[in-house]
Amino acid sequence: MKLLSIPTLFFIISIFSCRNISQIKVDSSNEIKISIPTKIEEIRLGKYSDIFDSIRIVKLETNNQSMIGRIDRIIAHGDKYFILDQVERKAVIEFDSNGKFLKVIGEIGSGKGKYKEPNDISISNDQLVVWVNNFQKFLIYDMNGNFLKEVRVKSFGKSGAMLNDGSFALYMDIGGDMKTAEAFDLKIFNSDGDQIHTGFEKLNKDFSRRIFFFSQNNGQTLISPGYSSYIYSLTNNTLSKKYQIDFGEKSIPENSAANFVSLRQFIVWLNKSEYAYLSTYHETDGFLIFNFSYHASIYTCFYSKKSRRLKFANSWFNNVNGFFPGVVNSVCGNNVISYYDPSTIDTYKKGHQAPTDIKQAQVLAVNANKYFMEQLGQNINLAPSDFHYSQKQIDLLNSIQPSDNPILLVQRLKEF
Amino acid sequence: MNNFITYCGIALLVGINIILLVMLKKAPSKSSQDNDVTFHLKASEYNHKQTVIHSLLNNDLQLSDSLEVTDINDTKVSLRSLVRNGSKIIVRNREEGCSLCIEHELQLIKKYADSIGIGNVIVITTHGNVRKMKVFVQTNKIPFSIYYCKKLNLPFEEISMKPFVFMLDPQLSTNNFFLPDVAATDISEAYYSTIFQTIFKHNKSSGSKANRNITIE
Repeated sequence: MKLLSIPTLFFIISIFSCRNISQIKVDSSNEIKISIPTKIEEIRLGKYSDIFDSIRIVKLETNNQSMIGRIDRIIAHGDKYFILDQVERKAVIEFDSNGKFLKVIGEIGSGKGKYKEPNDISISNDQLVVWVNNFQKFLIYDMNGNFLKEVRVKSFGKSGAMLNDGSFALYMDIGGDMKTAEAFDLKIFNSDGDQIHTGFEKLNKDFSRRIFFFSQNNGQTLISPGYSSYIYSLTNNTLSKKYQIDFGEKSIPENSAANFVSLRQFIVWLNKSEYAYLSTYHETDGFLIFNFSYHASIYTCFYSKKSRRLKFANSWFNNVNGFFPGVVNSVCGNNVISYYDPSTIDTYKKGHQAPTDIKQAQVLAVNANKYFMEQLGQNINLAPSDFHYSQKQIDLLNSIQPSDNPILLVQRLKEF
Repeated sequence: MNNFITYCGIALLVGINIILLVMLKKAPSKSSQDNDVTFHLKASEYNHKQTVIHSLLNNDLQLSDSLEVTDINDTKVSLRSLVRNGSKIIVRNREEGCSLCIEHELQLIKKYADSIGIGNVIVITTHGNVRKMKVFVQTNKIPFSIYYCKKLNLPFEEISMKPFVFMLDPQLSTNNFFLPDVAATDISEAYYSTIFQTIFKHNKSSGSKANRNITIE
C-alpha cells in the first residue's frame, strides 16, 4: 500500500503543479463617483489660468538620430523624457529635461533585446520596459538605457506595462470585429512571463478603441476597458474600481455596438447619439484628469481629489503660433505634459504675427473651430488662452521651424 | 514489486491520457481549419476583385500638367520633370495609411531595384514635412527618390488609404495600376518581374541614378 501511494502522490503533485490561471479579483469598496452635469452642452469651460499656473517649454533637439515621426507616448521620469514613436521612427528616444537628445533605447532586429517595433513603454521600479507585440515579449532596461533582460509571454496585446511589483500586464482590446479565440482583454503575468490572471471578460460585442490603455504615474497603474465609464487601479492580483464617471442617462447602454457591423458605423452613430463616453484618463498627485466625448466634442475634466471639485476645459487656442497647450498627453507629478508638432507652423506664421492679443486669439479660435467643423465635422470648442508667455518663451516659440521635432509643454496644475 | 510496476504503469498511462486530452482540446478542429481556408480564399477573391476594379478605374488617366511635388529638401518640382526621361514606377503612400503594407511593399521593390534601376522607382507620399519624410526614408531605408504630394487626384485616393503602385509615362498618363496585398507577396513579385521584363529590360540604362535626390546620412 505504501508503494501504491508513491506513484499516486507523484500523479497528484503533477496535476496540481499545472499552472493555475484565475480571474483577477475585482474590488468595489473604495469607488469614487464623479457626476457629469446632465446638460453637457451648458457646461462652462474654464479659463487656462483656472487650471494651470505655469508652463515650461521643452524644445526637443532635432538631428538625424533624434528625429521623431510622431509621438505615441511620453513618459517623464526624473529629469528625462522618453518618447515612444511606435510606427514612423519605430524607436524609444530619450531626452534630458532641457530637450537635449541623449540616446535611442534598444534597436530594431530579431535577436535578444531587439524589437521589430516598440509598441508600448512603461517605467516601474526604476526600470524602463518596452512591450514588443510582434515578438510577444517585454524588454527591460535600466534607467541608463542598458538592456537587462527580456521576458517572453505567450500572448499578443495592444498595450503592455510592468506593474509596481515586477509583474506584467497586457491589454488585448479585442473588438467584436476581430476573429479570435481570446475571451479576456486583460492578462497578468508573473516576472517570469507565466500567466497568472485574466480580467475583463469579453461578454459584449464592443469594438476595439484606443491604442494605449495603461496610464501610469507614481507607481500606480490605471485602466478603463472598452467603452466603460469605470477607471480601475490595477495591481498584480486586484482590479479596484477607483472612479466611476457617471454620465447618468447619457451612459451608453450595454451591448450597443452589437447593432453595427463596423467600428466606423458605430462611431458615427455614437457621435450623433445622446450618449457620452470616457476616452483618456491620467492621475496626478492631486487630480484625476479625464477626457470624454459627447456629440463628437471632447471635454477635458480636472477633478481635484482634495476639494472633490470638478473643472471643465478644452484645448485653448494660444496666442503664440497656434499652440494647443490644453491637450493632455501625459502627466508627471502634478504636471500635465502636452506636445505640439510644428510641421504646419509655416502656414500659421504666414498669416499671423506672434504674439497676438486676446481679441485676435478669439477670432483665430472661432475660425479654427469653423475649420474643424467644416473639414472634419468635429466641434472641438477651441477657446483663446489667457496665459501670457514671457518674451523669452515667445522668442523660443518663434524660433521653431516646421522640420523641428515636436516641442513639449510642461504645465503645472493649480490647486483648487 | 510487480504491483508497484503495474501501478506506476497505470499512473503513467492515466497521465499521458490527460495530457493528450488537453492537447486535443487545444488543437484547432477540422471545421476551424476549413473556416481558415475559406476565409483566406474569400480574402484573396476579394483582393483580386478590388485589383481588377481599381485597375479599370485608375488606368489610362491623365494627371494634371500643373501638379507639383516637393522633394526631401523642401524644393518644389513639377511632376512632369520626374518622368521626362521615360516611364517610372510610382509607389503612392499615405502617412495615415497602413504602415505595415508600405514597409512590406518597399522591401519587395528593393529586391528588384537593381534590375529595374533605382532611378526608375519614385515614392510619392503625404508626409507633409521634411522631418517626417526623413524619418520615413530612414526607418524604411528607402534608396529611391521620394516626394511629397497631398493629392495626385487618382480615384483610388478618394476611397482608400492603402498604398498602391502604377506606371507614369512622360505624358503623365497612368497605367499598370496595381494594388499590393501583404498576404500575396508572390503577386507583387510577379508584377515587378513583369514590369522589368516588358518595360525596363531593354532600356535599363535609362534609369539613371542621377535622378536620386536623397541626402540622408
